[in-house]
Order: sequence, then structure tokens, then C-alpha cells
Amino acid sequence: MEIIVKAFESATVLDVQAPRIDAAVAIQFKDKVRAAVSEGTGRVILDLSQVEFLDSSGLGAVVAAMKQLGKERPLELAALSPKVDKVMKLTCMDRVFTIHETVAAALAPENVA
Amino acid sequence: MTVSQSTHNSPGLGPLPAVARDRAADLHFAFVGNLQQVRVTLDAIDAEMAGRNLCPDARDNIQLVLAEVLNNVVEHAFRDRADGALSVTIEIGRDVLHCVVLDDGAPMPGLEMPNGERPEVVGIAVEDLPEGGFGWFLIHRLSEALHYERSEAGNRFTFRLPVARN
Repeated sequence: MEIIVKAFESATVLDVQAPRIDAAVAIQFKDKVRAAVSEGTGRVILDLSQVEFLDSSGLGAVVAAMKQLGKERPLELAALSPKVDKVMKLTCMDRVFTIHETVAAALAPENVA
Repeated sequence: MTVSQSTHNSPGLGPLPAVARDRAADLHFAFVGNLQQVRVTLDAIDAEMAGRNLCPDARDNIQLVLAEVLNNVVEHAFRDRADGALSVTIEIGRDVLHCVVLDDGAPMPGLEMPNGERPEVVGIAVEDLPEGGFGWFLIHRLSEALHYERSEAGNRFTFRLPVARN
């Protein structure tokens, strides 16, 4: 799993280059996110456009990443595939995370606090 | 010794009518229980489902529920083992898949499955959000007739997955 870090003025985008965030890579995902956001400030957008499948371990890892980032660096999600969206809705995590249709929408001026 | 627990009143529906049975359509996978093998098996099952005219939602649910059940076995029943024996058998009926997952690992704590309550997440402070407990919720939520049985041979999980067809 690779995570590409893209620094924008209004946010840091983490582009997850993996078809799955599941039990097999959950720990690796947490470590990669931690490394990716070790520098910088402000919002973090998790670009999930490449991620087709997220299981409960993957969801737990995303929650852990949000907790680790803390209040100063809110973690937001973008570009959910249908399966990922479904898991978010079933678990009500869609009401916890700020979710954007696309990364472009996440970076749009109206979404920048 | 056999200990049974069921979330519904019937542990199984008994034999299906012969007309709904297609023995040749049964799928069976037996493998060494690790997370990579679970992935390989899930891909193989999804490939089998791809040619069966299921609605995409049903296919997604099959992947998700089997991922949760199989990964749970690897991470808990096989916690200290790399050689656990795991198998999944899927009997394909017209409107439903009958799934049986067997493992020779440690029993469920208290010989019971965790209940399927959804972890509370709405209105919870970020630092207090749960990172686990979603798996059993998803299994209970998306399957039917979920049943767990412990015997000397190990753990046996049975459940049904509805399969609306296109």
C-alpha cells in the first residue's frame, strides 16, 4: 500500500493507492498515515477513490487515524466507492466523518473553513 | 460436547426442498487460515458470484460478511497460530446462499458470538470513538439465521445470505 501526499494550501490530501483497506493492511495503513501527516498543519483529506473495499478492520484503522490526528487536524473523506459508502452508512460513520463527493469538492473554497 | 447459540429461533431450516438444491453449484474452499489466504478466497468466491447474475448489492454483502467472519477467525480463533485450518462451504440456492465456516481454532469467548449491536458513534467525542465492534454488527445486520456451534473439532458458523438476482 502506498499513500501519496499532496499538499494544498487549504488541506493535505492523502491519496490511498490500494484497492482494499482490510484486516491484512489495517496496521500498515495506520503507520503510513502517521508517517504521511507527521509534518504540516490543517485539514487532512483522505482520498479513497482507489479503494474499492473497506471492512471493519479498515474502518477501525480510519477511525484510529482520525483520533491520532486530533482536533487540530480534522480528517475528512473524499470519493467513496459504492462499497465503502455502504459500510459508512450501515455503521453510521457517515454521520461522524465529513464526506466529500470528490477531492476537488473537498478543496473547493466553500468547503475551506 | 456441543454448545449451541442462535440469534434467531431456528438454528437452521433443515434440508431444503430438492428443487431448490443444486449440488453441483456448491462451492468449497479449505485453506490455511491467514489474512492473505482470506483475500485470495474472497476473490475466488467473488469470481464465482460474478457469473451468477446476482444484483451488485448481494455480491457486495457476500464479500463483506465473509470477510468479517473469516478475518475474525484468523485474528481471534487463530491468534497464536499460523497453521489453523479454515474452510468455507457455500450452497447456492435460488434466493439464498447457505454458508458454513469451519475452523479448528480457539472457541468464541463464553462460547457465544458477540451480539450485533451497532457501536455508538453519533454524538461521541472523536477521542472516544470505537475502533472495533463493527465487524459483528455487519455480520448480524447483513446475514440471516446466524448460528454458532462449538464442538471438539472446533468452531462452526452457519448463516444465510439473501441473493436478489438481476
